[in-house]
Amino acid sequence: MTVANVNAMNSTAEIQRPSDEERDMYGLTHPGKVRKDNQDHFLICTVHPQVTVDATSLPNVNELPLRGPRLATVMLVADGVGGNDSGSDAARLAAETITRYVASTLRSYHTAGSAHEDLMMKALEEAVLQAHDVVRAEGASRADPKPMATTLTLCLVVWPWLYVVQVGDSRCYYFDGSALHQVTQDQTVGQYLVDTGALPKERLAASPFHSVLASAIGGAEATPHVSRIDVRRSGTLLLCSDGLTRHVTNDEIAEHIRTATSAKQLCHSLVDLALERGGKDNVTVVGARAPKRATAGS
Amino acid sequence: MTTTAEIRRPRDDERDLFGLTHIGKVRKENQDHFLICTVHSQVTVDATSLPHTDQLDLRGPRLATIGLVADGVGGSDSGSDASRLAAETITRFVASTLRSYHAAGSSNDDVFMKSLTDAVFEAHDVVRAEGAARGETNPMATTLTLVVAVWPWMYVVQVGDSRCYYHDGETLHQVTRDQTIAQHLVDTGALPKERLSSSPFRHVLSSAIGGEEATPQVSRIDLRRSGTGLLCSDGLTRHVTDDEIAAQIRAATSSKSLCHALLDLALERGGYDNITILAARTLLPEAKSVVG
Repeated sequence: MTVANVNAMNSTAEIQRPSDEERDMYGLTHPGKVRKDNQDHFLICTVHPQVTVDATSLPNVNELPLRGPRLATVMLVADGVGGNDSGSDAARLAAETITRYVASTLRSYHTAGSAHEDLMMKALEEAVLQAHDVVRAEGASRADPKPMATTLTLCLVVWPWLYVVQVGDSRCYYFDGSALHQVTQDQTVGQYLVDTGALPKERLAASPFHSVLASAIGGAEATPHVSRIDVRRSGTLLLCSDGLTRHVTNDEIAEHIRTATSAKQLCHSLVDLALERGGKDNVTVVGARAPKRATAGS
Repeated sequence: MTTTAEIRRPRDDERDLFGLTHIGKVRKENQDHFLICTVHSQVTVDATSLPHTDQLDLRGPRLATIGLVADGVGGSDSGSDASRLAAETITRFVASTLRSYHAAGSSNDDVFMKSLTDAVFEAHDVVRAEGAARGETNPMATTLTLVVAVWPWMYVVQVGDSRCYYHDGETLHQVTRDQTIAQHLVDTGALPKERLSSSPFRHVLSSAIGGEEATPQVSRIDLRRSGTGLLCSDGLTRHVTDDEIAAQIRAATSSKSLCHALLDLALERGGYDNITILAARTLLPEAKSVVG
């Protein structure tokens, strides 16, 4: 067998769409060691067509594959901001609204990766703006005038594409098998100051504006940013709230992904590290992989 | 001239769908099968921190409503197995070809029609393969009348001599054409129409799922005028005329009462064959006339 052949096989395997069972996904949230409540929420779900039988003469109709092939895998992290229950309610409302939306916008999934892809991107942006409206409406209806808001990092995988919608400072990382890429940009006042040259990058971490959101679901302004990247079987997707990244560096995250044996093990090891270092905020980590099956003999 | 206002798309619970099958009074077994189902998107939660996800509406809006009748032909269990296999194959197919639903009614309509005939040919292949595996001298086969409604269109695929009717509020239309030798003889002028009902070829299929030849015919109906759809096997139409069907539809108060009234009529007149009837109406308040 020549090296060229091996590479050809690997590259075919690399882009092969994982079956439902080949996906290794896990999510974990922890209140941390300081906060009294957990205002983070996360969700991992699968969108697929479903046949519901209204009436039939067929025996054993439920043994038929009435669940159609998956259209998309959806993952999100929402980190709520606000006093009392407001923060966690904002995160919950945002997550629920997105869930409802992805179930109903099925018609746009077929445009993924096509010339009509803008329909898909637009649908995602609309989903996020709808969550914004829902959280704002809830905030306005409460007696407590304190605004309720949340970050939202939403990932939608329509193999082999990953669409990411970002509002706030939770993060999405993609590890491509060798290097870690931070897919999202933090929407904080501190990051904005760095981007515009008003603040040196090395002073960002110490800036009082470091964690002040410039864009938030339910806040004064929500400016969703949509991006798309290609995903491969050797890749790992990671979503997290800033409760992780305030304690753990990108290099450390990359190292944990590199040595991970499962999405579950990865999430737990990263949360443990954040807790060891103080766990000053709620920590949420969602990991997703689709490792290639061991192909004996090839 | 009366014009009926266009109606909006009915919600899931505004559809009145019903189906039944009866062995009849002569045959020893029922070789008919039917199915009514709804295709919609669904969110399955893999993991979450959210409480009460069971209270979230994870069922997305419907993409299509599907109805089918299959009338099996063949000795022993072959006929009912053929109709069952065809119905099952179609069910599998509609769950997995979601991507083409968006093409319904668009300029890509032919893509959707193609996927419907593909589904029917797949059923044909499955039934033929099963027949070949059994090695019977009597081939197993079935009719198949398949209706896929993707608002505002209703697509009908026809193989054999089960039927699809559509009553538009005033008139009954036979949407499908019987694929029988006798009908073919009438169409080509070899047999006078008035002698069709007494022809020995009246029930000999010229096209059948699992048979020598399957030539699916696709047609399309606009659903924006309120109406009633009816599917049936020839166990109904050998006893009940089109005028009688139209009268029953006009008098019906529900899909269920309509199906039972038509069934009773066929049984009263001898019930020589298995009888299968499916009906679909809308319950929209603005859809007056026959569909209430």
